[in-house]
Amino acid sequence: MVRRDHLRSTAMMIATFAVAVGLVSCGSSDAGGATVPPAPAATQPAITPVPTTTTVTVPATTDAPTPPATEVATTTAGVTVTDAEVADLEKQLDEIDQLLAGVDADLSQD
Amino acid sequence: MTTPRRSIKSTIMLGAVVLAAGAALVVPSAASAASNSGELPARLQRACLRIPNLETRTDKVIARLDGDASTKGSLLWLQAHIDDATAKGRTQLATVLTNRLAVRTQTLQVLMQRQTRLTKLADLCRAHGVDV
Repeated sequence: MVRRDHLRSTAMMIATFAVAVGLVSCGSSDAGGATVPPAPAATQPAITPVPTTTTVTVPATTDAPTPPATEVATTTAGVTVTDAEVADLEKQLDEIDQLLAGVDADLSQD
Repeated sequence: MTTPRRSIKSTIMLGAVVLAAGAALVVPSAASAASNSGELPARLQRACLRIPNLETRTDKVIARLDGDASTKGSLLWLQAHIDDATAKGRTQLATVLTNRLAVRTQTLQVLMQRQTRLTKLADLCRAHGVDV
């Protein structure tokens, strides 16, 4: 009988601990408190995490170009050049290239 | 008992998602930083090596636009054609050629500015040790 009572009390302790863990985790995930879990249990796990990951991922791609701007590479002459400077040089050359192509097309009309 | 288990499960899932998002934030920036470190001088050299051909093309077009009346496509050549069309009463052709002359005059101005810019860019490349 004593052993049976011991088992029962152990089971009660485990159950109490599990409920406590559940309440604490519910309290940290949403501010609703202990009465919230029963009704939205099916919608809670799947829907809320997905938007947070997508909103976090988008800034990651827009933030990506920022670090290279501060990053510098040293050339043989000992002068440093940034990624932004090289990008600007490429952009200017592309623009001149397009301008010349447009002039060639214009001259071909004569 | 089902609610706490689900809560624990959802908490674990949420934690995994947050960890994955964190890894997604960290890994690409580290990878791009690693790739850019060796790529930048090569990109600079490649861009600089485009300058001589662009200078040649620009000089050639400027010389053509700025040529005399016998140089096909020059401003003076176009003006001669406008005068001819006007004299013959071909007003529509004269208008088309006049509009073309206006555009081409502005183009010549822009090309002269770009020619100066190309010279400066070539100097910049030489300053960075790229032989242009």
